[in-house]
Amino acid sequence: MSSERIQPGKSAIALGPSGSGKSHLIASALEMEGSGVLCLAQGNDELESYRRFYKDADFLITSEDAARLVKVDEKGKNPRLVSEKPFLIATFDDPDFFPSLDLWKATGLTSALSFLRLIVAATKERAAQGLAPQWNVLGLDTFSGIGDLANNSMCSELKVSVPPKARGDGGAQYYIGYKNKLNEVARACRAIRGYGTHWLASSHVQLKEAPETFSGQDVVAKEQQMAMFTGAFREMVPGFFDLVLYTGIDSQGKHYAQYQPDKFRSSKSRYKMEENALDAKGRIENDWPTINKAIK
Amino acid sequence: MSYELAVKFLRPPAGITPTRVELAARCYRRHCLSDLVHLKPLGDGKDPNLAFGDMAHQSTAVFWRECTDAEGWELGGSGRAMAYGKVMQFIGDTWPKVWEDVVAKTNQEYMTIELLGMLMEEYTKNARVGGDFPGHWRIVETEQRRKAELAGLIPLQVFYQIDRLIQNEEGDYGIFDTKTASSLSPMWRRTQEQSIQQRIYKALEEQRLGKEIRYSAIEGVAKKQAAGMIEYVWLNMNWDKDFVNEALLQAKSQASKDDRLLLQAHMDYSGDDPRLLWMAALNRILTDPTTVEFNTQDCQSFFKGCEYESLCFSNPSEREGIALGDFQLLVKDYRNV
Repeated sequence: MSSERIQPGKSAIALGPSGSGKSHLIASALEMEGSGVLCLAQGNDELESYRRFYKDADFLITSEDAARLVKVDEKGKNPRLVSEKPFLIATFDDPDFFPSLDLWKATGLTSALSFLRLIVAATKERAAQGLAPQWNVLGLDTFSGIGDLANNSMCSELKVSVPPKARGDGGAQYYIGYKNKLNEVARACRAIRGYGTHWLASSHVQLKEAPETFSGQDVVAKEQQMAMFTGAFREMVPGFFDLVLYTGIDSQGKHYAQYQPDKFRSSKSRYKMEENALDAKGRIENDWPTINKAIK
Repeated sequence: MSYELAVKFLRPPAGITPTRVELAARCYRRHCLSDLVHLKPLGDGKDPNLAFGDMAHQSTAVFWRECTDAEGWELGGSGRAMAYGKVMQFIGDTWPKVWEDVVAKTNQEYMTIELLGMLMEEYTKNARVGGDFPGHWRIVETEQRRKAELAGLIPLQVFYQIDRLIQNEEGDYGIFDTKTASSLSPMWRRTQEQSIQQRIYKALEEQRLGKEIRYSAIEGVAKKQAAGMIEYVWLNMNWDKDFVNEALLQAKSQASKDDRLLLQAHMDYSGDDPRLLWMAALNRILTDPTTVEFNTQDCQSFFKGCEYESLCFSNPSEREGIALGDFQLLVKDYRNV
């Protein structure tokens, strides 16, 4: 009996503060794998990290870009992406969302989701013909930036400038809506990954305070550094990825990714780590060729 | 690839079994995912419930083999005690190998080697060859795999395994299916009494032996509440021929639905790449309820979440990709089996 294992792509998220090398990991993957699609948020914040790919990239930033790259059939339906270049870079923002000025338009998240759905459709179409994915890497930089767009979207729907209290008016609607919208983003990315594209994401971090409900009992709760999302979704983020790493730069200016740094920052790997891949501090060079080789 | 070749490629050699007919009746999509395209959650080992049940079945088979003579009559004297020793030895030798591949799930941590030992201690004390059927019984065979053919426009091959075939002094046959269950509740008992699986066993054994099976029963062994307790559920009380045949028709209906799916997959992809044919079948299963219907009322059946829930709860256009990423996919080629 012969059998063939269909290989999905790998999935990883790099967590860390600004300037710690999150985009560096994604860029090194694009370089090694030779093609990729980038979904950047918010706006052009992360664009500069990918300057070296500009000459081989199509950009989907303005409505003119969309008119050029997204084609529809004669009935104006079934949009599909037409991009011939190795890299496709799209940025998403809410430029007209200013609650203080009574401007509530927040479409960044739906645009990002529509874009990802186009990638799903294009990848699925190629897979049905037995073709490898057009893009070897899907970079989501930053996932927490996409989270900000989800926040804008929910605030816009509820006409509030800050998230309501969870147990207050509109709280349930806000937090459930926020979680569902980001789940939709994650699902589209998981689908793309299934066809063989590596899904690499980044997220800023924030400190989550220890819950008071545990204090005074046998179990001592600790504050945790977690992906910068709000509500229950931040607890779900690691579950979407097979590898969760923290990024940093050492005193010699070298980028590293850290696996299980300390009890305040939890990381994980569903992959088997190659022996001796990590140094004594549990660090590995923050570079996709090195990390990709170390995880199986 | 011709349709005949495509069917040979996708249809498992043990395509129709009573267990699969039962699952297909509960949720046809779940049956197609697990029995036709063999989707297994990534990184998930063997299900602890199944592993425990398998071990219990094998242990009972060891027991009946050791405590009966060459003709299947139970040995007197210390026969049971000796057989119990052999069962314990078997469990000690086999458990570590079987459990190596089992993922312990938090709510199933009670399934331990100690529990199986305790359960078998009770079983070897209390189980009878003929359960609580009247008369004196001998074992004809245990855990025998069989293949049968059901006549029809397209003959259908069915694969099955009877836990214990027995015979009394008058020459009547009886069949037992041993099942471990968390508790032997009235609801569990009622479910067993209507079992499609047991009706199929009876029909197939009657066809094979050329004789009516007057006695058939479930031998329930409790593994959580009152662990080791045995309860016999007699099955023949209200089972007339039509009632039994109805289960065979169910099996045939499932087989023809399986064939319709294979044909549909072949129409979606008629090229020569087996992997793409397999993906076409997967896509149909996940996105076309007119060919493969689903039943959301079965997602939590037997208090155990269906492993494919994450697929059914996502957007249909994303399911294939998520399945390819989150599940182990083994594209099997059955053409030469």
